Amino acid sequence: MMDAIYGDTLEASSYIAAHGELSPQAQLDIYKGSVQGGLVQALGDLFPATKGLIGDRFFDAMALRYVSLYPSRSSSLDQYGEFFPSFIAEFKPLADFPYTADLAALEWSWHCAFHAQATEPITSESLAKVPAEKVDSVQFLLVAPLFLCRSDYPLIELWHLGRSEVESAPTLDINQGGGCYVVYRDGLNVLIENLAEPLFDLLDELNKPQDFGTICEKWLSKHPGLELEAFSSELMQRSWIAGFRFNNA
Amino acid sequence: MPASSINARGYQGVGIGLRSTHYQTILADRPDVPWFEALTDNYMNEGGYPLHYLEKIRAHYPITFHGVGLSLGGHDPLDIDYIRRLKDLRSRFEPIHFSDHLCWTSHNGMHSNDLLPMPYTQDAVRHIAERIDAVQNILGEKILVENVSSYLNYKMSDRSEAEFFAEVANESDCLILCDINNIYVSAKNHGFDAVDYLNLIPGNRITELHLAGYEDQGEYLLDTHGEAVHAPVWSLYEKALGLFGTIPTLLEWDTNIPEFSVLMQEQRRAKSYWPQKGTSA
Repeated sequence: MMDAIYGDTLEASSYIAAHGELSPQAQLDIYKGSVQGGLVQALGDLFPATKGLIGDRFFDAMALRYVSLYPSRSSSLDQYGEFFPSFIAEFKPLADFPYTADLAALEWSWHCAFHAQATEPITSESLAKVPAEKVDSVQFLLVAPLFLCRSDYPLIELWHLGRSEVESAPTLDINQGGGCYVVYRDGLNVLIENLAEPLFDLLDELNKPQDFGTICEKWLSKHPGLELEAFSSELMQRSWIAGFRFNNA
Repeated sequence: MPASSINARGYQGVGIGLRSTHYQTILADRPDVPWFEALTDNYMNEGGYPLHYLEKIRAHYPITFHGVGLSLGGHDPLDIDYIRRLKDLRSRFEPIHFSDHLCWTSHNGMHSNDLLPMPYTQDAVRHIAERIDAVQNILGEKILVENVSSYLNYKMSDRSEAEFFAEVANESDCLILCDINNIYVSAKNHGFDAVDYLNLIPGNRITELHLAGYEDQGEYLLDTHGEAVHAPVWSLYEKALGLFGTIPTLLEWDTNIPEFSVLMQEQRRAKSYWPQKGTSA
């Protein structure tokens, strides 16, 4: 019956009795409508900017297709929608609107950040315990939640546009340029920010399991002439470093 | 079988289902509500806004935990990780009790996130009663099991829903959360007498009543929890109070959620069906 609810063909009359004006199939269809409709609604709640941008009817039809391909795997609707951004990226009717998948990915990051357990940032005193001669072999850990998203499109403007948070008629140029976005928490508030690329690159490298010496080499080769120390200090000022560990300990 | 460990302090009168849109109002106004019901599945995440506000509200009100994720009637193995998280929530929030539903919600790892009815057979009685018993043993306390609204009739059913519910409750020694709206919806959809249903379930196990609104779809009633309680449900509620006495009652509203003041009006209406002080034994 669960397969039938998610769209597989099953002869309802084989296990459901007709009653009153409702045929077996009509009874099953009530559940199909309720389950699938509930999940479509849940996706709309999780991706409000994406929905607002492409319109309710298009979104709901697309979401219904997603529901048939990706049944819920959790009792909690908060877990539903993880693969929706990648599904949108492959959804052919949206092939000419590639920013939609990026916007959905940003919304999923926002949702995950909203429900995440936040870790505490490291204190300056704790950081000072790293011996200068060992800094290169240290792996620094970022606070959670913190999600990174690079896009060729202006996602923050699209976010506000989709959520109807702009009062005037939109004059957004979708090709005005993208950004390096970070999604993080300040207390209970989830914030999205477009970072300068050098700072984003540093975060991006810190997000990988590698020592700081390797990060420095990569970062300096991409940003010759810039001073890494200034960007490293900014990470501490923003409370984005949670701790460190010695990789060769 | 674990003994009932319901913490009865503050558990009386008419509570209200806690919804995130009302967090701020509740904390700012501290409304005269004896307890709130929290939907457990909304607080299974590790942190963030919902848990923060539940903690703040819990500081001022008793709460019950109501879930949809145990899939008590399902055939997938019991989700031990889910039950472990329930226990973690219990340690943190000390709810009056846990409840879930007389239904199944998952199969082969797929979840409906909706309440699917059981076939009413002896095998199904044994199956769901064993799983309720297992959950109660893991939690170390009795849980409340709630009847669901249903829209289909399995060919294999050989007894009424009320008989099935009574057998499950007696065999598993669980407590009953009797949803008055769900009884009415199912009674209309399947053509049985709602009062007969009340007479068939074991009154001594009924620990809580639920009230909510349905939508009339023409050919059937749909349990949406999206409207005010309808007149025939109030009438059935009055009969239930007459049969079972003043049982703690919860007012639910899950879709098209109105301002909190509307829920308070409904709560006052529910209280108006209770015997006035000094007039009852």
